[in-house]
Parts: sequence; structure tokens; C-alpha cells
Amino acid sequence: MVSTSRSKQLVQLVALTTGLLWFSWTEAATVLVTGANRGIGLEFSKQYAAKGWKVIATHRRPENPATLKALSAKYPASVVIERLDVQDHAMIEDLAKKFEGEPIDLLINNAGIFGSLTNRQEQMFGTLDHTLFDSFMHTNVLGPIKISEAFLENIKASDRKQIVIVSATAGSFALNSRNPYPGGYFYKASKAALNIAFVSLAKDTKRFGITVTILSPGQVKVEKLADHTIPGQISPEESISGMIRVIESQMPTASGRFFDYKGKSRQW
Amino acid sequence: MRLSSALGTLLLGVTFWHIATATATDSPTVLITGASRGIGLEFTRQYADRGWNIIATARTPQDDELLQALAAQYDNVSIEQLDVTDHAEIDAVAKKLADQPIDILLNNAGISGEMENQIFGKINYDVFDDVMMINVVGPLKMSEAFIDHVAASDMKKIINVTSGEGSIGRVQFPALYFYRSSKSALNMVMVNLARTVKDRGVTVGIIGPGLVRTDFTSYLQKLNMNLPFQTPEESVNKYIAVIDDYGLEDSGSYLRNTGDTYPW
Repeated sequence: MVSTSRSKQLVQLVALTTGLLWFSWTEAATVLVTGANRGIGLEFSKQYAAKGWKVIATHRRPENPATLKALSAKYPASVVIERLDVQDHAMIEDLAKKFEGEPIDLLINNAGIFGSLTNRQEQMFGTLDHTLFDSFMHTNVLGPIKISEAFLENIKASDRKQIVIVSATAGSFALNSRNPYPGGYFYKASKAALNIAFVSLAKDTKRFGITVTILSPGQVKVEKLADHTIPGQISPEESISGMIRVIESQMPTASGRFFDYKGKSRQW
Repeated sequence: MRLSSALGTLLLGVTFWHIATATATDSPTVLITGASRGIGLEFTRQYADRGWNIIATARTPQDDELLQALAAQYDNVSIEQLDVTDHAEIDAVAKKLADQPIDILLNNAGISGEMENQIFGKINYDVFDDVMMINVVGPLKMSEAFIDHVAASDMKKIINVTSGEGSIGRVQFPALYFYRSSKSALNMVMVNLARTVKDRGVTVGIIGPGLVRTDFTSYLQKLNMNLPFQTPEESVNKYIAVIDDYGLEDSGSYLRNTGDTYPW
């Protein structure tokens, strides 16, 4: 009978799809996280390690930080610690060379600077410390572009082919044209700059099947903010598990979009 | 006796006439960066035509024949050497002009970084700093240095020449990573500046000139794609009309020279 064979086909199709989905969900993959020693980067590293992924956790401290040593001790087979200052292009190139030929499913450009919490005048009009501008741009914008370029082949060689960058709604025009918090000129400028750069990058990498996602982590209670309580703060655990759900749900057709940790599409 | 008093009166009359026309205290004053060529030069010409007082600045004005010619042609155009990446120089010029109210600070100087330097896969990272220093830090430092001059004027406007290329929502083909980043960054600092200086009555404009046929867009002209270029005269003519209408209530709005809004 026609209906039986068709329903049989349907069952097979469902089984196949489920199997593929299951395969991709549980299949161990590799993630590279910059700025992995604390805050958002550390939480990303912890959660991906717990999922059974290989984690290349990078930091720029002179010695391996205690947090990453502990993580590596817990997951000795899968957590690799590497030293990387995202402002140092030679270091980026050396690291890419070290991992040449190794597929990297997910690149998380997380390393970034926000500026002094105590000396806010340095980012306020009238008292701007222009000597700081370069470090914001080189860390938050140029480094991620360079790393994405340097590790492009690794990402192309992987199954998932994803690039993520941690941005912020604090650097969105939607917020700043309505109700900006005072100051933060360089930080905000660097986030606007990285947003447009990564939208371009999304278009440039589409032909390789790469998905680029720009994320806002929300207001996360990280170590640096230990003495500063900001309304609406969430735990790193909540922010990162949300962001991981968003990352998992990305389709190449949605490359170059801006989401928050709840999966809500954000305005530039 | 009669001849000398007649000559004396004539001399006095000529002197007063000269002072009256030279200072033209009714006319607004515009300070323009990057006035040596392109739309900067055209802004100088068109505002000078209106009889406004122009302080035209450039990095090496002694070499800029066209600008020198304009200054010779118009009494109301003066030239200052100014490199927007030289903060000491900016401070010195601001000090020199301390008593001069400036109705419009026109942050026009800018560079593209050139298309071939910004192609993904072979990006030339060496040009990044120049693009950022000129396109973002320059206008910001100029605004800091001249805010009092602008606030002391009648019109109180800081106008920033941005670009539609800085619109994140408008990105179509991938290119010009640094240039776009610089314009998006410029837009962001100026949106914030608009807020910061609003209570001083200062308007901050973020206006793109559209596509203009100058040296700046030679990278696009080379492509021979039949793009709709405006002449500098057309672009600036429209742009000035937009500035005329751009008031405090518009401060921080991202417009093109047609008066239309760009998406962020």
C-alpha cells in the first residue's frame, strides 16, 4: 500500500534526522576561547569542558593562571592551556601555526577590556585619556579580526564552523541614542567598531559555510565587578549557559546577527 | 591744508571700510579640518561664498595650491596648519584662537585606509592605527579642544563628516574593515557627545556626504561600476543645507546629505 511505504519513509527520515542531530549534539568538538582565565571566558571553558569538548583555553598571564590549572586538572584529556595576548599578532600567528591542520569548531572571541572602574574620568569627555584608545581598539576589535583570519582554515576544517564574538549592548546605538550611561567612550566605540567588523566578517566567511554570531552576555557578575553591584546582574553560569544555547541554535543563514544570552535578537 | 584733510578722511574711511568687511562680525565662523582637497576644500569654497569666516586647516597647507588660491581669492578665508593626530598642535591652535567663537566645528578630515589593505584573508594591519587616529580620535580631540569656542558662538554646532559605510544595518558586501569600524566608532562617540554637551546648547551632527567623486573614493572609481557619484559641489551644497536645518533637537541623529536618516 502507498500510505504504508510513505509512512515508512517518514519514520526513516525522522530516525535519520534524530540520529544526525543526536550525533552532532553529543559529538565532541573543539572550542578556542580567548581570555579564558576568568570571568566569561572561564565560564565558557568550564561549561564546554563539562560537555566533553576539547577546550583550548588562552590567557595572557606570565604563568598559567590557577583557575585554568584547576580546570585542566579536572579534565586532563581535553583542556589545553595556551598563552595568547590578542594584541600581539606574532603570538596569534605562532598559535595558529601550532594548531595548523587541527579542526576548531568554535572560536570564541571573548578577551576584551572595559576600562578602569575607579578612574572613570579617563573615558569621559573633557578628561579623555587618548593614550588608552589604542589598547581598547587593539584588544576588542583588531585582535578578534586577526584571530579569525589566522584560524580561518581550522574553522573551515571543522564540522560546526562557528565564530562567536562577545560584544555588549552597552556598545549599541539603540541604548546610546536613548539613554547612555556617562563616559565609557572608548569601550563603547570599540564595541560599535567590532559589531560592524564582524557583520562584514560574516559576509566574508559565508561562502565557507561559517556562521558568525555576535553576542551580548548581559550584565554578568564577574570577578572584576566583585566590589561593584549593578542592577540586573546575572551569574556567569546563567549568562554562559544561555549563550551556549544561542550558539547551538545558530544556522549559517543567520550569520552576522546580534543576540543576547536569552536568545533575543538585539538592535545595533 | 584741504588736500591733506581730504586725504586723511579718505584714508580713515578706507581703513574703517576694510575693518568692517574683513572681520564681518555678523558672519558665522567655521573651522574646517582637512580643507586642502576633496569635500573639505569644497566646504571652504561654499561657506566662503556665503561670506562666512573660514578657518581652513590642513596638515601641510603651504603645499596646498588650491587652498592657497582660495585664501587669496577670499578675504574671509584664513589658513591654519593642523594635523588632527597631533594633539599638541590641536591644543596650540585652540589656544591661539582662544577668543574666537566658532559657530561650526566641521570635523571633515578622514582617510579610507585604502581598499586593498582591508581585504579579509590578507588584511594589512599596519594601517589600522592611522585610520582610527584620524577618523575617530581626531574629531574627538578636536571637539574637546574647541568645545568652549563652539559654546561661545551663536550657532554652537559640531558637525562630523561620517559615512554610510559606518551603518551596521547597511553592510552589503564585505570590505573596508577598518574604515567601517572607524565610522561606526565615530558615530558612537558622537552620539554620546551629543548627550554630554546638550545642556550647553551645543548640537552634535553626524552626517554622511553620500558618494562623492574625489581622491578619497578613487578605490571605488577604479572599479568602473557606474556608481552614482556626486560632484563635490553637489554633495557639499546639499550637505550645507542639512547643516543649516540641523538643530539641537536633531543632535546625535545619523543623517545623509539628503536629510534622510541612516540606520545605525
